[in-house]
Amino acid sequence: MSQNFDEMVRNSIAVTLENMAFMEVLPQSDETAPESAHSNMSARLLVLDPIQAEMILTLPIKLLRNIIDVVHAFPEEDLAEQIQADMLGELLNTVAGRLLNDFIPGDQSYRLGLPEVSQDHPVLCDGPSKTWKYDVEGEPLTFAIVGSGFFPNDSVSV
Amino acid sequence: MKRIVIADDSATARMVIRRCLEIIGLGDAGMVEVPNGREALARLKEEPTDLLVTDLNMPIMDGETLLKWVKGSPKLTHVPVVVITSAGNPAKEALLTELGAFAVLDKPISPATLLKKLEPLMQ
Repeated sequence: MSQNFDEMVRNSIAVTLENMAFMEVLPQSDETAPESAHSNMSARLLVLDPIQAEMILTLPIKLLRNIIDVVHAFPEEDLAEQIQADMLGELLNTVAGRLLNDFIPGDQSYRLGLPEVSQDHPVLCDGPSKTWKYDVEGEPLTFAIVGSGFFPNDSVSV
Repeated sequence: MKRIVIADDSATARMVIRRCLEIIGLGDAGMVEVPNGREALARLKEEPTDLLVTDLNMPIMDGETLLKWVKGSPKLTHVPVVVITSAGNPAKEALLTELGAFAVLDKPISPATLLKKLEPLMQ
C-alpha cells in the first residue's frame, strides 16, 4: 500500500469535511487516535465497477451532530435520527467519489452503490482491508476499505 | 430563474445545493426538492422549469436515466440540466455532456463553482 494512496484517502476525507463543515482532519495512528465516549454510527458503500470493494465510514454521533449543526443549522428534533443517517451517508458518498476520481484513470467511469447506514459496528467482509484513523475536532473518525480492487498486490489488515 | 427542480436522494445534499443556489443569487426562484429521478420527471411536467439540478446515484430512477428522459422529451428538452455527483470523472462528464447535460460538477460543491457553471444561464 503506497503512501500515495494513504494521501488520496486523507485528501478525500479532508476536502469533504472542510468543504461541507469547515472542519480540519488530522491523520492519527492507533496510539494517537482519540477515543470517544459516545456511541458510533457507521455507513457502508459498495464500489460496483470497475473494481469491487466496500467502504465503511464510522464516527461518533456527537461529531455527526456537530457536522449537522454546521450544514443544517437547526435540525428539527423529530428528524434528528433521519438527518444523522442522511448526513453520514452523504459524507461517505462524497468521500468515495473523490477517492475514486483520484484512483481510477480519468478515461474510465465507475459505479457506486447507495450508502447504507446503521448504528451497529461494521462487520468487515472477506478480503484484504485497511483502516485509516483521523482526529476531527478531538473525536475519532475511521475509514476502512475492504476488497481486493484497491489492494491488488497487498494483503493489508490494520 | 423562476423554478428550479433539485433531485437528490440525500436531504443533506439537497440542502447544500439549495444553499449554494441561494448564495449565488437564485434565492427568489421556487425550488422543488425530490428524492429520485422519477419524481423529478413528474414535477418537471407540472410547470415550466428553468433549471434541473440532479444527482447521478439515486434509487428508482438515477440521474443518467433522468437526463436521457428529459433530453428525449420534446416538452422538456430545453431545460438545462446540471449534474452534481460524487461519482463523476472526465469519462463520465464526457458521457453526460454527450447526453445533453449543461454542466457536470463534483461533490462537494461550493457557491463559487456553481456560479461559474451557471453564469451563462443567469445573464
